[in-house]
Amino acid sequence: MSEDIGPHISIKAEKIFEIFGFPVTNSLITSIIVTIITIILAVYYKKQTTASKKNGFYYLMKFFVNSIYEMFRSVLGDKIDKFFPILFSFFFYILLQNWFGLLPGIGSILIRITEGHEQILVPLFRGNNADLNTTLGLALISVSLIQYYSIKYMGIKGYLKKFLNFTNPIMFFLGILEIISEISKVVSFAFRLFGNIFAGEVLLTIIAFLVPVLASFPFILLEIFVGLIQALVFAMLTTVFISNAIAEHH
Amino acid sequence: MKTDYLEIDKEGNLKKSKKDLLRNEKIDSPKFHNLEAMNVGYYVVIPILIGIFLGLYLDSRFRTKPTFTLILILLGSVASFYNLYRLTKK
Repeated sequence: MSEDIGPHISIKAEKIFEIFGFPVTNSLITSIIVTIITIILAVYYKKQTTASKKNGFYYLMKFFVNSIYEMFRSVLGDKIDKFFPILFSFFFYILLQNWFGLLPGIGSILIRITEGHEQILVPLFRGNNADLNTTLGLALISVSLIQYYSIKYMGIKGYLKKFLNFTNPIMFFLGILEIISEISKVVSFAFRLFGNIFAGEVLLTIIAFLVPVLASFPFILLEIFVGLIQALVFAMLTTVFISNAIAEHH
Repeated sequence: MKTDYLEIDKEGNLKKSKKDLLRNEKIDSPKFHNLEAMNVGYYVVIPILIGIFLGLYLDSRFRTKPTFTLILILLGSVASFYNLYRLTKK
């Protein structure tokens, strides 16, 4: 069964083992590793800010944080100080996940698991944003935050007025359309990230299968760029939506 | 007012933010506001898809093929055009 030649591409993450009936997929394993790396980097950076002798990592991160801060401030204005931690967390976590998926070994280390009656080979790690569940989770967090801050800044009355408006039938109909538009925000966040990263993984797999030596190199450079852009786009769109949600409409 | 937020100054160092962050004021730099136009493809397609799948589900539930599907596709198309209109209005 597992002797077939050629790359094996699965659109969903494969289950590796179970903990009390909770399926642990290969993308979940990668996600845990990346989360730990993110926390370690954040704590290390925090420690460096108060250290008397700072190293290169501190200045590199400072450059990153500072340029992203300036960029988001041009959208959010002074309120950036309130929103920056969550927005930069989105950016940094997605960026690390995208880049972690490009490391050698992700998708190429295979292990043998039993599924039903037959044994199959599945990759031990899988780039986490190449799993729709992750991107859907991130999108739901992002859109829930937008609704939360909208309620907080406009008041529950001003928030509901956007969706339920009984002044005339046309406004009531437009309220329903606004709800659909909020749902399409979730789907567009989730599918954009998933589509870009999954397409990158498939591209790298196929290229490495067709030409084993050196041909993947430009595509890996491209994927590094795509990973950066997608992380930035996710955080930037969240910023733009938040800034639209908390501003007064008139 | 809350003052326990931090801000980043020109050199990139953290310091206590003195700004009043809960004031509900308009933000006056529309530099990236048309970034939402990146979503335009999704905004057109998704309402129609939602209409189709909700309609198919409701039809199989109540055995009224194809009433709900047609109505909801129509509603989805209107919603996608409304999304486009709202995007250009901003």
